Amino acid sequence: MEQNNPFLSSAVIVGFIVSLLSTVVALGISYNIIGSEPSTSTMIMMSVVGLASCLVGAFAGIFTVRHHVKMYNAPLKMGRGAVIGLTSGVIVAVFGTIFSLIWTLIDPSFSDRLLETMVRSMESIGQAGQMDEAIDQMYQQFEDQKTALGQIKALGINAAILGALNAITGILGVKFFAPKPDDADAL
Amino acid sequence: MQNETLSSYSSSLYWMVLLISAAVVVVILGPGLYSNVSLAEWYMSWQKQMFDILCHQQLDRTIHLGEVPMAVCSRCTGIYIMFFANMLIVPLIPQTKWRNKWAIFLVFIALSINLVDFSVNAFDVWENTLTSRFLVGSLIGISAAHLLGTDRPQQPKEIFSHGTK
Repeated sequence: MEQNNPFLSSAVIVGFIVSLLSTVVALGISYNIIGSEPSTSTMIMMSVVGLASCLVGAFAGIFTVRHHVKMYNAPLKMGRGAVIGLTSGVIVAVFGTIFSLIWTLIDPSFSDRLLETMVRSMESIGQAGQMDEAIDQMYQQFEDQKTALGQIKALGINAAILGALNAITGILGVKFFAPKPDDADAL
Repeated sequence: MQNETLSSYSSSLYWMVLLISAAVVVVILGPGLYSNVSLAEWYMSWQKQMFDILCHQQLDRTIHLGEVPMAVCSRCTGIYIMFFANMLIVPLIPQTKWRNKWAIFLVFIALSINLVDFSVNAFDVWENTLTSRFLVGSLIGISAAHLLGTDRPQQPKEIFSHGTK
């Protein structure tokens, strides 16, 4: 029989770990990019950052359901899995914003140096002429993200998309890990 | 319970997932869906910013709608579009023992194919294209939707504990 066991602790634990992992990976690769010569490989590294974030961020729902199932070992409804996934997605977004703010305090020049490196890379691969306007917009976006309003806007956007996608991966988590109810319960 | 399945058009959960995936598809098509915007406008568009943390969004790896890049790369486009497309028909696919047995494995196979495709391209064994990345990515979308619509998928531990006959 399915039970509505509390899941917030699972969502917070997994959300914290997932957010920390993706932040550490993204920061590690970003510092590697900042320290490297500008080239096409810089852009390839950026794609690896995207891949790592994607793999981790979109699958927080699955990991949270896995943690919840391990805690209670009870059948889980798919709708419940969706709610668990949505919650964990929002929590990942919240922790991501917190870690980002903390890192801004630890290394205030980080985002400026990353932006400069990205722009130099674009120039080195011959895109600057075509992308002057886009580079200006990048400067503008980085400036916006330093304001409180910019952070709140980014948090809202991240929470919406991570919540929606993790609601679906939360249901996938139920399919992967949740014990099935007895046939009698399923009917 | 009818509302707790994704294999029926009468399930509210099915419609919720379908609506989310439809909304995601509309967003990933990017601002080019509405107008012919400049690259700078694309860069600042909310569609592009929504997927900032989920996709690298490299211009040369992104399908263009008209002259405007979509909000995600071609692989992600394949995942999201084919997930939605398969969700549309997934209730029509019969629930069989074969389906129950292989639904989860198909997801792992799709993920493995993508990992191989990414790796061989990274190591210059072969160069993938927008089309090949779209097609390979679509395998993930198709298999994930197929798994969601499978009522009683056999988990790997069940298969291994009962043999593979």
